[in-house]
Amino acid sequence: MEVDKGKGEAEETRKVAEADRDTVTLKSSDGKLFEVSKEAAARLSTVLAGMIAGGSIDDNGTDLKQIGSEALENVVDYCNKHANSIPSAALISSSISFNTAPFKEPEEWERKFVDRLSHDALFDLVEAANFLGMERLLDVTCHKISEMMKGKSPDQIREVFNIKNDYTKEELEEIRQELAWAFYDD
Amino acid sequence: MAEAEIDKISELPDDVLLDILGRLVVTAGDVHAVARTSILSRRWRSLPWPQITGVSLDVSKFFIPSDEWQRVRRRRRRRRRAWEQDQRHARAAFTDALARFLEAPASKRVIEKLSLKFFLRRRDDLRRIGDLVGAAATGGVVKSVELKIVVTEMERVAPELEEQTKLGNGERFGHFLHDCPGAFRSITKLTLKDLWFHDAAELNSNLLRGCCNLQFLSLSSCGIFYPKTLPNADEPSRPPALTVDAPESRLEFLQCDLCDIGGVELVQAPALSGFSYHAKVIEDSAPISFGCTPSLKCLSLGHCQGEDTFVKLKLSELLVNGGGQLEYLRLSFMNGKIWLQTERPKQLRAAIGRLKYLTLTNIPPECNLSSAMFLLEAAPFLETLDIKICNHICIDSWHEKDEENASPAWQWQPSPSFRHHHLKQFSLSRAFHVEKDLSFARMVMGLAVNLQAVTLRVKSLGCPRCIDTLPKYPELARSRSRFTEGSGYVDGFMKELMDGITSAKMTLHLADLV
Repeated sequence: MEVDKGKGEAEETRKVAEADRDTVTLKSSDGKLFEVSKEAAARLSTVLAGMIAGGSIDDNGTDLKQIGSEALENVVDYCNKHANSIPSAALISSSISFNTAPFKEPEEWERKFVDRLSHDALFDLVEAANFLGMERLLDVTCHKISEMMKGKSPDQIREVFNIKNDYTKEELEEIRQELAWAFYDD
Repeated sequence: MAEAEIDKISELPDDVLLDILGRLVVTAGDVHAVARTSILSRRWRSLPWPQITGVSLDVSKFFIPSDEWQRVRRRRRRRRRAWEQDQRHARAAFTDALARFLEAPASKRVIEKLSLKFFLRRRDDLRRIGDLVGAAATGGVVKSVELKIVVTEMERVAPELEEQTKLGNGERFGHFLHDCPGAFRSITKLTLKDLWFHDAAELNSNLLRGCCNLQFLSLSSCGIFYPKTLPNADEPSRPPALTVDAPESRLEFLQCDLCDIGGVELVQAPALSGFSYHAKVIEDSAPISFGCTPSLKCLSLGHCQGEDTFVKLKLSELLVNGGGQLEYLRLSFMNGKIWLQTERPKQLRAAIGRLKYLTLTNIPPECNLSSAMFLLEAAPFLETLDIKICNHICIDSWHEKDEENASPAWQWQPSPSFRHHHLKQFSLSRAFHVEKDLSFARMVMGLAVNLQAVTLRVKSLGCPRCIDTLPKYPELARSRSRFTEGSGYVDGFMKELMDGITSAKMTLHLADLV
C-alpha cells in the first residue's frame, strides 16, 4: 500500500509538471517515443496544434500509428531545427518585386535537411508531413521531389522512382496522340 | 541519392502529386513534363494534372528542340518551309495545351495564376487564345492572368524598317485588344516589347482604362507614332509623351524601358506604387511629371546617354510634386555617365526627404563617391544605402575613362556639422580594386552614427565577355585575387577599415574566383 500511495503522488506531481511542460511526447507506429517543442509542433503542424488545443495529447506519448519511427524522428528533428533557425532577412527589393512565387523556396538548412535523406526516408517524410498537416515541411519535401523530376524524360523518371510501366503498346500510342503537344514527334 | 527499390512516389495521394507537378511548372516552366507524366503508368494517367493551380505556357517551349531540329532540317530540304511549319505547329500546340488546362470548370479548381507567353502573329490564333482566356476568366476558372507578348526573332528587321514593323506589331496588338475585351479585362500583368502605338490616346484609353484589372505593365522598346518632321518646320519633332490618366486604374507597377516616347506624364494613377523609367535619350526638360500618384513609393530612374549628347538633370526638378512620399529610389547610370546634378541638400529635401532606401547603380569606376554625400544629407531618414560600381572591361574604351580619374561629376563637401542618424545598412560593390572604396566607406562610417552593418563586396564579374577579357589585364585580375579567403591583405584591409570604429558590424564579401 505504501508503495502504491507513493506512486500515486509521484503521478500527480508528474501530471502537474506535464501541464506546464514546453514539450510534447509523440509515439511512432513501432512504439518509439520522441519529444518535440510544443510551440514548434503547434506552429508547424495543424494536426498537432489541434491535438494540443483540444487536450488530446497523451502524456505517455501521443500515438501516431501511421508514422514509423524513422519518419517521426525526421519530423521531430525538423521541428527542433526550425525552432532554432533564424528566418532569413527579407530583401529590400521584394517591396517592388511583383514576381512573388506561389511557392516559397526552401532555406539553405532545409535543403540540406532533405538532401541527406535516403529515397525511402524522403517519401516516408512526405507522407508524415501530409498526415500531420505540416505545410512548410510538405513544401520542402515536394520541392525536393520536383527537382528530382526536373529535366528528365518519362523513361528516366520511371528509372529514378522505380515506376513500372503497366501500359500496353496501343495505350501508349493513344496517350501520345491525345497529348501530341507534349511530345515533340512529328 | 540512390534509386528507389520500391515505387513510393506512385503511392502518394493525388493532391501531393499535383503539388509536386505544380512546382515543376513554377521552377522549370515545364508544362510538357507535367503532361508527359501521363505516360509513366496507369496510376499517373488518372492524375488530374490539368488541375494544377499555377499554369505557365511559353510558346518558345513548343518548338522542336534544337537537337531534334537538326534531324528535321536534314529531312526537309527547304529550311524556310520547315521553320514555318515548326512555327505553325508550335502555335497550334500552345493553344491545344491552353485549352486542356482551362477545360475543367471552376468547381474543380481555380487557377491562381495563368501566365502565357506567345507571339503576336495571326489574328485568328490570337483570337482563339483570347477567347479561351476570356471564357475562363468569366467562368471564374482563372484568378489572375499574366501575358507576355513577343515578336519572333526571325522578324528582326533592318533599322530603316524597324519603325514600320513596330507599327505593324502595334496594329496587330490593337486588333487583339479589340477582338478579346474579356481576356484583357482579366489581365493583371502585361509585358509588351517592340510595338508602337498609333497615338498616345490609344494606349491610355484602350489599354490602361480597358484592362481594368491590370496591375503590372511593362513596355520595352515600345513607342508612340509621330511624324519625324512636321510640315513647315525645320526642327525635328519630339515623340509624344506617354500619358497615364486612368482614375479607376489598379495599376501598381509601370515599367518603361528604352521606349520611343517623350517622357511619361502620370496624370492620374491612384494605385501606382512602383515606377521604373529608363529612357533612351533624355531632353533637357524633366522626362516625367507627377499628377495624382498618392501611392507611389518606389522609383527607378535611368538614362542611356549617347557619347555626344550629355544632359544633366536636377533631382529636385525631376521629382517635383512626386517625390515627397518616395521611400525607395534607384538611380542607374548607364554608359558610365552621371546625369545627376549636385544640389544643395536643403533644396532636395522636399523630393527625397522621406526616402528609406537608396540604390545607385552602374556608377563609373572613376567616380569620386564622396560627392554622393549630398544625397545622404538630403535624405535624413535613409536606412539603407547601396552603391554598385560598374566596370565593363569588355568595352574597349573602359580604360580611357579611367585615365580621366576623379570625375568632376559631383562636387560636394558635407557640412561640418552633418551627422546621419538613421542609416543602418551601407553596402558598396565593385569588381576591381575594392581598396578604392576604403576612404569613402570610412567617411560614411564616421558620419552615420547609428550604422549597424557595412558590406563591401568584390562584385562577381557576371558578364561572360568580361570574364573572357580579364586575362588581358593581369593587374585587374590581381586586384581581385588579393581579396580571397585567408590572405594577409584582407586582414590588413579590414584592420585599416575598422580602425577606431566599433559600432557597426562589418562584412567583407570576398571575390568568388571559381
